[in-house]
Amino acid sequence: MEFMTFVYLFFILVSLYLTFLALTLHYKNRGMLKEKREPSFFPKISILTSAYNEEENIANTINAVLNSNYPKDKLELIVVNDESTDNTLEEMKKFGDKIKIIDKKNSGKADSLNHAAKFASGDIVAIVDADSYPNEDAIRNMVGYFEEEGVGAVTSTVLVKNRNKRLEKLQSVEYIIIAWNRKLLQFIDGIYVTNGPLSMYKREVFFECGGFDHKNLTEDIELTWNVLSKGYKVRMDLNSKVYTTVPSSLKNWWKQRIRWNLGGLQTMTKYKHTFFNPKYGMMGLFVAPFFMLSFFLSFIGLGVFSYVLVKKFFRSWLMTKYSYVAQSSFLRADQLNLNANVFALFAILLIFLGVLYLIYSNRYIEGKKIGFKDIPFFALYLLIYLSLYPFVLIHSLWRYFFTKKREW
Amino acid sequence: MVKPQKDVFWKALVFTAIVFLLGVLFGYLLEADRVSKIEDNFEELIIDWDDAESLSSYFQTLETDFCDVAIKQNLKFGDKIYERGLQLERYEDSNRFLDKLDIEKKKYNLLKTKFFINSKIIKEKCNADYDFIFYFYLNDPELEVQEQQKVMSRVLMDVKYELGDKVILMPFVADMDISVVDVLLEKYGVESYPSVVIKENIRLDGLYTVEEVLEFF
Repeated sequence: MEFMTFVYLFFILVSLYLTFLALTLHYKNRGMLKEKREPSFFPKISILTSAYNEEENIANTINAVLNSNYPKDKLELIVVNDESTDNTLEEMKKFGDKIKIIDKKNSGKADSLNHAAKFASGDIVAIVDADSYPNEDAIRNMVGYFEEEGVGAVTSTVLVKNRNKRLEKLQSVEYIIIAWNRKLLQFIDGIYVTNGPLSMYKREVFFECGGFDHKNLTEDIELTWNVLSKGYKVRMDLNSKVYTTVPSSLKNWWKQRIRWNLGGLQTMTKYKHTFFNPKYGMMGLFVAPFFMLSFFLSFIGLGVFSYVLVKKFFRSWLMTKYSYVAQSSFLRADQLNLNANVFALFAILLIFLGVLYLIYSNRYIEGKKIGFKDIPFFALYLLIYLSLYPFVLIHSLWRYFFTKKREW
Repeated sequence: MVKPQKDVFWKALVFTAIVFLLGVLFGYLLEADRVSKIEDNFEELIIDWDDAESLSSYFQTLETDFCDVAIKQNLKFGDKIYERGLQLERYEDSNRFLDKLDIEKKKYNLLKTKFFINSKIIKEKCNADYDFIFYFYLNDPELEVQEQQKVMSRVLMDVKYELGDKVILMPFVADMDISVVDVLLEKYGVESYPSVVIKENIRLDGLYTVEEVLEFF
């Protein structure tokens, strides 16, 4: 058996395991995925939002929060203007005394939120991105989770607001899958990020962790790992939806993903002491190794993919060259080999499960009816969009190890 | 209250192991079935060969007037062994566990040498008007030679298509330690691959076009 056969089988094995882990988690918790935890009391919540040049979005975000069905007297909204150069501050001022405004020198999102937290009087600190819009029942739905013992943070379901361009639509599918996976991970205490668009933290937990790490490019991932490493649990509510604006151009998408990866790498480095350390519970035994494994597999996967691709191109180039020399056609029907083999069997099985997973999660989270017309789009997602991940990773690793560039 | 469900890790592992092993087993059985098919084909070829050889011996020793039948049967066998050889290579390309079918290839090559000897005898005895095209190639060469071999093999298929029964195309794997093939390699001075020997005296090394090969006929 060739070495590459072992490599392929290894990737198949890992893919199958992760698929079955998700299926097992889903089957076991199918009745609890959309459970509603109605709070027995309403703690005071301080919602913090930091805005930098968000004149187009900030009013909608504030309106979305103010329209929440959470008791108004238990809600405090603190909005930070991080030295915007547009009309963000003016937009904020239109809300008068419904919100507290902090106008400060520019210091970045993480630092601005930490600063705002100092003025928060709530028992719970909630973070809402300045370009994100929570549903009216999102905050109320999430609060109930804090009544579970040991819960330090609760996160929400992020969905895409702008879905006009193909890239935006692809991201909308991706966000649904991310939300779905995140909910499943909750049942093994494996949620590794409390997203920026809408997440809540117990006040004392937030301050015990020292708030957001302003040096980290993904402060939300870092804070989650911090919360987990201190022994708190993280929960997620599928019913609490928040709509966010995603990048519309490939350039901005790439930039965002580089930032996510760099932040992930920063976080892994910072918490390397937790890896496989039983002292940190599932954080050390699952979250950190799983996170690292996904990076590692993407990297190795890209290596294997590149090797196969380069070899294929080289073969095709040679075949074309020699066919030209011999004046023979380089592609012939009789050369088609449609005999099945073990890889073809597994590929069919994994693609089938992947498509089912996409269809089911889309229907479950958004109640969308998926028809045959959506299959090409899902194929585009599975075969093209996901293939971009490893390339972003390579660029990120390059940036992380060989340049000092660490910016938003 | 949600308790961490650690049991899902081993449950998923059990499901994965079952599906993975079943898949591997199925893949292995699929390949084993193909190998068994190749062996069955070979058995069938051996019977056909015995038939062709007996017919040939009969006409050589007893009946010289029925050369046409012997030639026809021999050519029919030639087409069949060539077709089965291609099928063997396709199966070999598809296999992942039983990736090299060297023994089967060697058996086919040995049978081809017998077929060549028989064809040569018939040609002389019956004064048959077909010519031989020997095609020597390597079993597992480097990438460049592999692609050259693929192209040359296609060229020769086209030549065979053009000339029909006027030629017998004999592809031989050169590096399988088969005595008759080694003798032929030495006889025609073949040292590089792919190499083609036309009418047992014209050697063409490397790549040629269909037209260039046809010029020799």
